[in-house]
Amino acid sequence: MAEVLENIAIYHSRSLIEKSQKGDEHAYGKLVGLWYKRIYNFSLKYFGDHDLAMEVTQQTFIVVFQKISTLRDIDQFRFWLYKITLNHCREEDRRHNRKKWYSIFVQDDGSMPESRIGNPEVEYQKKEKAAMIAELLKRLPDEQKTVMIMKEFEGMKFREIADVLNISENTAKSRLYYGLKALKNLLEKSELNYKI
Amino acid sequence: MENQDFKKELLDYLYDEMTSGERTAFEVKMEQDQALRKEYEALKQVKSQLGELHDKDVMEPFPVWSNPAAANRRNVKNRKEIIWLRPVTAVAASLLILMFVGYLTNFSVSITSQGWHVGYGAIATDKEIKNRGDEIKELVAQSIEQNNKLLLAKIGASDSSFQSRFAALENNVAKELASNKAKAVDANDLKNFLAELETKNSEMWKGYLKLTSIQQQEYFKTMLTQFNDYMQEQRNEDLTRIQNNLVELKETQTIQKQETDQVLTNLLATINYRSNK
Repeated sequence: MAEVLENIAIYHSRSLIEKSQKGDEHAYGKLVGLWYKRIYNFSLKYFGDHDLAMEVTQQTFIVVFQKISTLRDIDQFRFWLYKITLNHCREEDRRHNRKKWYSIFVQDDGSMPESRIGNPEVEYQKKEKAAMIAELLKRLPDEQKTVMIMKEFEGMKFREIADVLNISENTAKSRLYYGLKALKNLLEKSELNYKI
Repeated sequence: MENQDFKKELLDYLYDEMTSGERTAFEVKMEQDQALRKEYEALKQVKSQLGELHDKDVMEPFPVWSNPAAANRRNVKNRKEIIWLRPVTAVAASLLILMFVGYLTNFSVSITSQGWHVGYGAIATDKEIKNRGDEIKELVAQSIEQNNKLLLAKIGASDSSFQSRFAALENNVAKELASNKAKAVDANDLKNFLAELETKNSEMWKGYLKLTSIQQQEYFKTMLTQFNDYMQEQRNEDLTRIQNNLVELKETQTIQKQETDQVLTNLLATINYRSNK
């Protein structure tokens, strides 16, 4: 319920954007509060790394604050925000030169999880499964991964994804199709017994 | 799977971006093409696996968007460089604050023959402490002596005041006793008083009984009136009911009469028909 309300608030943040465009920092703070979790989770799925996700989210909102006055069509705010986030994700990705990702498997306390095979606890298995999927998601090519995150987790229409990425709808669908196929292969090859 | 359009359709179907007509057509196509169905099932399963990856909760940090310089300090590299400086800076700042506050409050630490002393203000030497002890003793003795004098003076004053008040009270009591002795109670007065009291009581009782009797009569009268009304009402209801029954009976009789006439007419008609036949 809370998430639904949050989503409604996100899509009705028009007045906050207008105030932010006039330099109202308080309104911008509220706008950030509405979008922060979404952008963080987008970045987290892109990198699979909390620190990088936080870094990109922070940088995104700094740039948005600096450039929000240049946004002409307020209805495009959502896509504009994703564009900026994606640019930062790619920039950060290049800067780190695709380091070997490992942090997704590191627990909050810094320790590594126990063996993934034969653990009877369902909750633990769920977490393990989520961690594995996040890991596999990172292995996908950038363009497939981006479309998959936007479609699957951000709930965007193919037309909207095409707009953000400046590609055709068919290309977006094709990328997602090959992304899902690649993920299926990776899941089949994974050491867990998740049969596809 | 005849052409490459299946990818587009498959994804539109998978992510519910088809119209109802398109959906139906695609479902028919899947029924006919098992390879297409298999492909759809595989993608659907991968999609459901992706559903296992949920959003994480996160708190937005202190707002720094209006100060990019501060935000840039969050850079990972810089963060590593300054990370060790933070505790040193914090300790140094704390020490400076402590020193400043100590200076303002004259905070001092000293060692005497009695041990370590930490406190505010100058620390006294052993001699000063001894001298101060004698001074304090003398001051306490003077204070006690002064207090005793004051106390004795107050007790003396209270005693004389109490003596005089007691004497006055004793005098008043003696006077009162003497005047009471002079007033002897007369037996006739007492008799008259009792008789008067008895008469008043008797009159009061009579009045009370009379009042009660009147109230009871009124109550009884009201009750009888109400009972009469009730009986009248009942009677009216009974009469109405009887009247209704009579009307009903009359109607029933009329109907029965009509029915009898009809039966007789039929009978006559039947007899006539047979006789003519």
